[in-house]
Amino acid sequence: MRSADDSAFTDFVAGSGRRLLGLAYLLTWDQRAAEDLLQVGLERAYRSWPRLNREGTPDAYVRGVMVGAATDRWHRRPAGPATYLEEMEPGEAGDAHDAEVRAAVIRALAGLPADQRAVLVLCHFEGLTESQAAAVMGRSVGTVRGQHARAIARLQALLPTGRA
Amino acid sequence: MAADVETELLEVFESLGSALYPSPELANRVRQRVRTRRRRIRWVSAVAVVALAIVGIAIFDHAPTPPTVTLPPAPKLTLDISAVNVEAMAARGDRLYVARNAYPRGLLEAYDLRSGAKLSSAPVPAGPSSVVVAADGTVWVAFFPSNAGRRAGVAEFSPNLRQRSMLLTDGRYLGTDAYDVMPQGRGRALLATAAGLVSVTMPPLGQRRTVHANPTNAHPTGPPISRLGTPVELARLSNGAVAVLLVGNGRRSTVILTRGSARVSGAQFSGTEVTFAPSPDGLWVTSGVGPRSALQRLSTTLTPLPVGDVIHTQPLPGGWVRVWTSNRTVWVATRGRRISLTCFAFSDPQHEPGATIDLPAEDGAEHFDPVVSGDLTVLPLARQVYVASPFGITSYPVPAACRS
Repeated sequence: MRSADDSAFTDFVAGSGRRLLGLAYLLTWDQRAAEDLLQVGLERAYRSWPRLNREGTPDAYVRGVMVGAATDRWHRRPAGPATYLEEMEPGEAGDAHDAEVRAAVIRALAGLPADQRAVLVLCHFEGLTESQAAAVMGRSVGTVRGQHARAIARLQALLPTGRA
Repeated sequence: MAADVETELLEVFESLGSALYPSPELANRVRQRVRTRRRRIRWVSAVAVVALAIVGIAIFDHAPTPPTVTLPPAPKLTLDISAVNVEAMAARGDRLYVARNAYPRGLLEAYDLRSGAKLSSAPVPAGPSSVVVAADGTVWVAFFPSNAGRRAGVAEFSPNLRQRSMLLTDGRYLGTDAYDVMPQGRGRALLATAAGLVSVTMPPLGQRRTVHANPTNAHPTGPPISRLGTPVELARLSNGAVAVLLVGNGRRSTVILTRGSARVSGAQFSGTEVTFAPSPDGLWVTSGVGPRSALQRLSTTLTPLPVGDVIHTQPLPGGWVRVWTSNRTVWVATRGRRISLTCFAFSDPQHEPGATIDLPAEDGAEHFDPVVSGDLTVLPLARQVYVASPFGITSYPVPAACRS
């Protein structure tokens, strides 16, 4: 690989690594698994780096690989409690109800199937539309729309009353 | 109400998604891992040019006189699995073994090549780097360490994957990475590791115990090779010697032949883009990238042999990508406008009929060694690269001209 390409890869990891690691964490719900998932995505991107760099789409490529790996049916496993569940602090004003709601959202997310959680992450963290999320996941728009609706409904049902 | 949920979701995602920082060494770790996973991965650039310097080996030109047949890109069978994390494959008879990365663990699956049905699966302690079927039918998997604390090592499975024995590294004797494994008889194997070549003896199949490497069951073997690079791929030649591909710091690669503890001979190549495969009379090697790449045929002592017309078959703007063999059939992946597989049954170096399969994929054969079983060649392909489920394992009929 040319040194310019190599430098561009280093810059890409430095610039996008944190965001992609965040995505990986939200997909896996596990810090170590997230690091492995990001490495899988980056390794695959590195193999085709000159082309990806030329086309200006390495973020989308890594995201696609990570989502595909995280939603692969063989990788689905029951999500344990989020690593940061106990570390989440109450709101700035010490609003116990907000903290309760947030903890409930985290618990509910941990219990969602990997597909539904991936849809939520793509739509609410990555900011994709349902159509774009469907393209990334390789599913039909209808399937993703249904998963999205079921995931939101499940979260609503699990949130403390008085808020949702 | 939904808006409240979505607001909470956004806050939770932003909070959790920004809480982690990647390792400062992540980019270097990725580079190192890609450069050393030789069995499955070959990075190729049509624009990068690496000067080829071979010690004692001729370089062959590419004359555009193709005696090849282009087949329609009609896959014979596609297995219904996502192959996004396929790391290695091996076949024996109608059974295809697929090793996948299921972070933080790995997964070994067996499929029926005729029906596409999954026959069985078994977990692998960490992400696999190589899978090999031994002469006795046992299936060997070498695996890498993971960020989740999983250690590298090697596992031996019964053909139906129901029994397993395992050897985990302790970091002292086997190093931290296991790149390739070569079975050497019942329960014995040679490993290519970050610490060099290591011979191991496994516990009996069915004993589900973990054995840690120690001087009594794992010891460095062969000649001192650390100054030449890291051994990443192994192949047994017809004369009993073991060919070892060593990658050194991104600047050069070396192929050496070993027999027992002696180093027999070696050849050096610039760059790390080297693939090799054994043949009945020696070794086929690709080296370099792009139009300066070359395909060579070497003897069992690594001296150059005539190649013949077949490899002069293609105008190669992208060059030779990789080579592998099955019996007397030689397969080469070439890069033109897309990746193609060219095969020929090699017996007469002056003239051999061949055939080419143009792959309908953007990604695939440049990264993986396809496997050949009977009249099928099997490889994981990616039809698009920006979506999550573009990968599948696809098989093509082996062209008649390439059967051996």
